[in-house]
Amino acid sequence: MMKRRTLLGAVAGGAAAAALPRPAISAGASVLKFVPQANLTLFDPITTTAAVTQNYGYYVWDTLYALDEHLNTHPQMAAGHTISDDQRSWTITLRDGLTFHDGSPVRAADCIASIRRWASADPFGLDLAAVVASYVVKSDKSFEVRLKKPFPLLASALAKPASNVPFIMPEHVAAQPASKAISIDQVIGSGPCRFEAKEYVSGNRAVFTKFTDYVPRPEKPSWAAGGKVVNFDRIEWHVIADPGTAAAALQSGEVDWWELVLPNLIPLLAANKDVVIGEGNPTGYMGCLRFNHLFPPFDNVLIRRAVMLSVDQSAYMRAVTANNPKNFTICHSFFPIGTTYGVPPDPDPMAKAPDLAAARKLIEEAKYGGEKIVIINPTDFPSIQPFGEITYATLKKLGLNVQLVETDWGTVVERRASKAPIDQGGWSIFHTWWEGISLYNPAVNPILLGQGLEGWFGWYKSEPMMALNAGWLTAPTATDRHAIGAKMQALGFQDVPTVPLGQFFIRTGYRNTLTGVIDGAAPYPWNVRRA
Amino acid sequence: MLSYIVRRLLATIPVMGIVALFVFSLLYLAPGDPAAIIAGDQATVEQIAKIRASLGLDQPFVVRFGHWLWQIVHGNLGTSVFTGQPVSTMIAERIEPTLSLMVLTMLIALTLAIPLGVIAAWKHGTWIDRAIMIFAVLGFSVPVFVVAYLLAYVFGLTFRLLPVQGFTPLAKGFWPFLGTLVLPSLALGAIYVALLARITRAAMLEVLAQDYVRTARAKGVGQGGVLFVHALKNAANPVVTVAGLGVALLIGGTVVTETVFAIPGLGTLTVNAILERDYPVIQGVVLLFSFTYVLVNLIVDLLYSVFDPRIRL
Repeated sequence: MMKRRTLLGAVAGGAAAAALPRPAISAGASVLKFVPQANLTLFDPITTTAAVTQNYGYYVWDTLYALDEHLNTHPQMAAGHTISDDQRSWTITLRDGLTFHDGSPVRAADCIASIRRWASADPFGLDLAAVVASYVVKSDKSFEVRLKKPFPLLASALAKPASNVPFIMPEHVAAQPASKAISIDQVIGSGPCRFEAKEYVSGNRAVFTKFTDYVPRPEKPSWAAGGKVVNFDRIEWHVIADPGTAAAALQSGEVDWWELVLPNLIPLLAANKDVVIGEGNPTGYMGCLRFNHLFPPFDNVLIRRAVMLSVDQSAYMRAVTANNPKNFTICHSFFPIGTTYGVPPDPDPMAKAPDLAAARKLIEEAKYGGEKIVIINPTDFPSIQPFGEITYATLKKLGLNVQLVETDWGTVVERRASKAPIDQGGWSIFHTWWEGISLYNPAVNPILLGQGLEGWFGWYKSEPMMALNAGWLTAPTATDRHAIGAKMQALGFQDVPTVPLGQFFIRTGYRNTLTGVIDGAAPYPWNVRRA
Repeated sequence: MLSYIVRRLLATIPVMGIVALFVFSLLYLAPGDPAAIIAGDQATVEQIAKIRASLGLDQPFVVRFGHWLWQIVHGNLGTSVFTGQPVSTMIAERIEPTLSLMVLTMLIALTLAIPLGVIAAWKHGTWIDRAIMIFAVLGFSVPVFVVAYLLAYVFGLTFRLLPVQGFTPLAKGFWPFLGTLVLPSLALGAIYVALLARITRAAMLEVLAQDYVRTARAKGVGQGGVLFVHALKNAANPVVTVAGLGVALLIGGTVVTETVFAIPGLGTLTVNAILERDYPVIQGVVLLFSFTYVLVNLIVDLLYSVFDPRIRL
């Protein structure tokens, strides 16, 4: 039996605890508390392709052009452009009232420096740089891009929606090489939010305030295009590494919005009437299995095809979506399903996959000599680790000599850059995923392009593929580009530079007190407001 | 005693030097490349190489170590390869949360564990003793993150009494500061309460069997006086030793707790730095931890002489 004194003690303890203020629980009407997907540690969206830096980039900087939700290109900082009759000169004019966060006006020279820097690092930018003869400042608000040959996709390139996004920075900042990241003190934005460097604490918090001198476009927002009206005076990013804690913080109202909800926690949050589970990025994330093309056995296309035929996309996708079919789609394509080029070839080369019998036949035909296969797999990356384990089990079933090397992501990203043979620290397969929007057209699609040693890890080399890509870049019409894209897709399934593992969706979660959240390629801060 | 303290502090210099060399060598040999992490998933080998060169990571071991040591000697821990911030600033920003968490944890641990251990020894063999020891076993057995989730669920989500995450600095008010620390300290403190209660009980049982305790009782000293004046002081040294070790172990323990409760302390800084291969930050934090460890040992040694005057330093 509980004694009177014990009871009084318990009550007193409870009362004392109740008296403690709950500092993080109440959010003011003009403060948005957001949990980003990762810690923001890099402030330069051109040096890195990290998605969290790209997302912060959208807060801080603006772009000359932008894509809407239908993947159409619109002027953003640009008021518009004119193209010469020979298609070799574009004159871009800036709209009125563009200002950097230090108060200086955005000038043509700033745009040119920013484009140059971006084009020295980004694949689409490199394509553009290859055809640019010169940039000429016409006035503070206008500049000309002179081309060696027509480049109809110039505006599309400058509207690139995912890393690296061609954000416009001041000339003196953009003057430094892309390999040298801009520092926290050099973050001078052109976008709707100002980054508060003094309040930044790595691993904990990044703070943005509304940039009151930003002039939004008059149109309604659609993804990164249109009017970027920010309805909060202050947006705080609270880094919460533990998903369970992030879910608890969202439920208790300590935060307003959690960017990427762990699939396992969706049922828990969906059951809470105060929380809304949003669609998130509609282009999702594309899982892929990447081969090292430099060494046996994956220098042999028959073995690569055998692996492709053995892949059960459903198994991969279930493993990373908490076994929820609503959160993935089968994707027999190198482009995300639902985008312009995301249409499986006809006939579909993966239609019968997994077909282990056909795969074994190909391995026999390839005269596989028992060469060792090393899969490098990160154990600290829950949305990648299962991919490696499933591939390992599958290759075992095919009778291949395979070793699963489990390590951390930091080691994987170092080792995959190694071009050494397997017995000297090299590798055969790694897995990753891409934001679907990062692969939305051939020019930005490293899992398909075949630049060889100059290209993405795995170093797939294909001159026919690159010739098709060159044709795509200069094709005069969308119909022509569509036809070339389909040919590239077909060639991809013939050469198998990468095996697509499916397209999955990571949902976003926010308090029901928020409205206007845009389900886009990034968690845009505009249009969101408190109801 | 002063000369002893000075000698011990001077002795930390070579220790720190050895730690510095060891840590630097270990990181140099360990796999991982911050340039590859910075460049991101879409980078080419060439882009990674350019970033590596811009960070000076392509320099030979001797050059890099020499440069770092030169900085250290001049009181500069270097800058983070990711954020570009001075390591000393990053560490300074995180000392308050970690130190607060450690102090409150130890306060809770000592406040609860010593009376529990004393009572268990006093009521040796009874149900009270067994109940305390069951609690101690549970404290050992249940992982910190389980306790943390349980506390967050009960006090944060169910009763809405305390925040489930975050940290409020003391400068923003004592109660908000305390409010964000209560749950993490309780979660982290459970294991130390268990540990110290068991040690206190064992030490007290040994002391309570001594002749001088019987003498004290024969002289008519009351139970409280026997336990807390005569016995506890003589049982203090093992408890101080373990408490000292506990402080050192807390450095590791804060990693999990800070992660679960999203506290921006040294634990999360260390984990992030290791995962990202942010070498200057790892080196700076390890040096700080090593120095703290040496300092705690020194304090423990000094406390021995306080509790037992027979020990001369």
